[in-house]
Amino acid sequence: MWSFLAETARRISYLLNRRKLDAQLADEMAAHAEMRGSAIGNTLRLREESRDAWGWLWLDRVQQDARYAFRTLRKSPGFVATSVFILALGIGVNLALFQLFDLVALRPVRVRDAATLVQFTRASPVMSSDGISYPATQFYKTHNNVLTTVVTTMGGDAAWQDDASDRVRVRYVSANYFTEVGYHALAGRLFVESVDGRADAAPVAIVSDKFWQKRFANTPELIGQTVRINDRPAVVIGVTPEPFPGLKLDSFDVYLLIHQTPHFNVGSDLLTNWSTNSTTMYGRMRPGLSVQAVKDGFRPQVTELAKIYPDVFHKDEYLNVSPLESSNAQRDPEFQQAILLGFALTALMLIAACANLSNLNLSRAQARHRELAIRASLGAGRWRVVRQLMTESLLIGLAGAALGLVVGQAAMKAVLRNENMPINIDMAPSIATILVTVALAIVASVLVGLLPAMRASRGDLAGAMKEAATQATSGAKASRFRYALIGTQIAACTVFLIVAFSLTRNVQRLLTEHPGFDYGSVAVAEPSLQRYGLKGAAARDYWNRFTALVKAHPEVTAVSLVENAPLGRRTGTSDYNDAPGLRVYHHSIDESFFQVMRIPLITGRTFTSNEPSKDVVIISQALARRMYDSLDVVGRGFPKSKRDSTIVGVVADAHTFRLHGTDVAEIYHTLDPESKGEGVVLLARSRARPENILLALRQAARTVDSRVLAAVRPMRADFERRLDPLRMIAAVSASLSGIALLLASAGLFGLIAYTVGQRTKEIGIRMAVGAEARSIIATLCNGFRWPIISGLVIGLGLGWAAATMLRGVIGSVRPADPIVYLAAVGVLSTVAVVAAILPARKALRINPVVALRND
Amino acid sequence: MPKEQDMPQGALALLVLRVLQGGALHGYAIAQRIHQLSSDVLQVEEGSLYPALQKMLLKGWVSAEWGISDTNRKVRLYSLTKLGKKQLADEVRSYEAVTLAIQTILREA
Repeated sequence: MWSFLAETARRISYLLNRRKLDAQLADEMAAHAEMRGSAIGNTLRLREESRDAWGWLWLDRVQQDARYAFRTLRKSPGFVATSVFILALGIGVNLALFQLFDLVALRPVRVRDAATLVQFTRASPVMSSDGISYPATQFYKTHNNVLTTVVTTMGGDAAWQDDASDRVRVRYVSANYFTEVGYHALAGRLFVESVDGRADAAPVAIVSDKFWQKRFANTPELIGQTVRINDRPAVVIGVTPEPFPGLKLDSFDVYLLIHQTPHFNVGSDLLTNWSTNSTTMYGRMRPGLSVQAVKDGFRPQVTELAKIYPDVFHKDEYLNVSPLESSNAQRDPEFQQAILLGFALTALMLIAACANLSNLNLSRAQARHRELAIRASLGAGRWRVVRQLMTESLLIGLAGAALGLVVGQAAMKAVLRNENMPINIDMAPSIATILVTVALAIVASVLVGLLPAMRASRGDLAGAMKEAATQATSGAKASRFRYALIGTQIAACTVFLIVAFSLTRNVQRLLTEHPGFDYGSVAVAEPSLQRYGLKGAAARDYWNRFTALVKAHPEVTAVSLVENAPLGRRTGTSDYNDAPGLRVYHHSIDESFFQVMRIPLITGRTFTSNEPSKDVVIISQALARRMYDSLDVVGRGFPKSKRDSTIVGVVADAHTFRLHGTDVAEIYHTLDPESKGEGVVLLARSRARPENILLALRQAARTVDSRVLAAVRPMRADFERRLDPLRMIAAVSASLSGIALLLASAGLFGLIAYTVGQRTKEIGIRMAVGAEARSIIATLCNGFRWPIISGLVIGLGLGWAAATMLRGVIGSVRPADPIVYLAAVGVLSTVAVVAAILPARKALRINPVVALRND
Repeated sequence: MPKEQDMPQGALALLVLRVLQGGALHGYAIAQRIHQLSSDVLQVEEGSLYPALQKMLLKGWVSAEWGISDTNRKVRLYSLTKLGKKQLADEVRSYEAVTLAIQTILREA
């Protein structure tokens, strides 16, 4: 053991002092020869054999290969630049996606002791909700023996200083939040439980580094200053570091204490209201407990609360517990599908890039045929030649991957720095990213270099020397390989075009097709009354007066109150056994909703202003068809087999939550007047443009109660916001298909130009015997007809598969849209013809006499 | 004069260790010494001597340092280490055992 260690140590010291030791060997042998009085043969070889004992000869060979490859590559900078650039594109898109995936799904949540942190959500056989009421979280906090601590958070926004239109992103957190997450202040201090957790603690605020920089240019004087949030005072005590990977990836401008919510939102009953489910609850498990044990540990508490608050708790409700690691997006099937499709496409891009380069390499290897054959005849084994060529590919691969990492980082940052995606993550590449980069470099080198190297190394000297003579009829095998490469590129390109066209058509269709409701002239007002503690009779009174004021405005033609604004974030959904596979979106609306949204009534009636019974519903056409196979359903019970309400009307389909979704339907319930106390929103239809009434809406909200700062916006803004990510994805895929198209056309162009060069003599003969220009071009291009056509066909098949997958991610995409496929084929064939004709025309300029003389 | 013989496989290391027992020697001297001691029968090729010496250095059986030869030339002198002495004893012992066995077979078979 010891001797082995000592030997290894000596081996390494030999490696480090190789140069010196080799010089000593040379000295020693010179002395030997001198003493012997005659030369001792090949001292160089003797030295190498002696060095072999050290066990580092392979390293010498690698170095030799690398040095030689480097020297060879330096002689063709154009080839190297092209290759590195193409590989950087192919690898870059893969790395950009991998890094996104890594950041969002792979990286562990970077908080202190993440393994013991769990998130709690409400769940029952029929519902699930991320939000829990604040008093419930406090009850759970004090009544359990499975957690060491409970952390609560709540997102929101607030008016900065006293300007209602200057909204900042606020996160309300419990006083132990920063301690549990495990981060320290960048400046000042963060919340401390013993100081800020007290009920009578002074109102304080913490700002993010980004906010500090943006608004205060990092001036340290901000700490200790009093600012106003929602026009209420708070002392800024510290700055959070940035990036600040908290429990979620969103970023916030200002952190406030959750128990001081009433201070910042005068009259808010958040702390005592059992039916406001807006608090997110985390807990730290006691050591040694499993997630299941924690889940079971809370059952009695939930049952106890459900008895006290039967209105708030659902039947068989329980607290669901999930580890923090799995609370990320990775559980979402749509996310998984998106990632899968993304990786399939970026892999395809790499394959297209490699096919292109492989072709380039093949041409180069053929040009170097003579050199390689000479090396082989001087005793280089085939394996040695392949290794040499592969070393060149690997050097290019590594350079391409390095550049690809830079490109990928830039692409990912461009995507994430989008204003609409305030994500709070550290974007430095992880170890995993570096490993993937190197792996991609190796894969790409093998894909690009191996086949050309194998082919090139097969040559024999005699053949190479005779090559000039046989040039006119160059190998059919090489051509077949090239055809396969061109076919691959065409196929990949077709897939990209289909995906890009599908997405573009999708956005275009969403913009032009009537969605079944008219959002264009509608404005939305959300006064969020619960912030000001307006509830029950006070809230109902507020809404009545507010609605009356808005209705009286001359620009307003109709007003409606709904529970969730169309095109908003979320609403309840159900799946019914009577209509399998159909997702039904619930809407609670008043009598004028259909009038405001211009959704036509098909049969029956709409709600009246004083609906006698709560158990009446209006259903959409799609729901009627799927559940009853008929539109004649007025008076029938809903759901079909387990009646609990009566259908009074059928309206046209209007997918206000899943625009152009498939297998989506709507059911409308009457808006419970009692619920006007909570998150109701007002929709107002304007005579002309909704922008004309925004100010009036805001003023009306203030007129009724001077404290209320209502958020108002045209509904079109929500529509645009929904389209933004789709537009971005369409743009990204369009640029990807542009790159693929460029690669494929460059590949085709190069190949035909190469063929023209190879067949100069044949063309010369043809011209000499009087062939027409057209027939010469046809002969040249004919060979490429089949690779292009088969590439196209395969690409269409794969493209259809990709578009079908795409629909799983973006429901409104139509995979069977013929225009998409026609456009893809059209663009591709045009580009292919141009790329083929341009170099082929060069053949026509061949002078037969010169061509024939040219050896 | 007897015909010169090539070195039998594996014997070179043993012989080098053995001639170094008498004190430090440089490469040429090692070859000469083996040649002389074998009454000009064994010829040590430089092509096997230097790789063997490198291997023995690596194993730690010999150590090397630069010195001055009798002819006043700068040479690398190899000498036996403690580990080398042990190795020599081992190899001599196993060599004797093998030779004895071979001789027994030659006599009795």
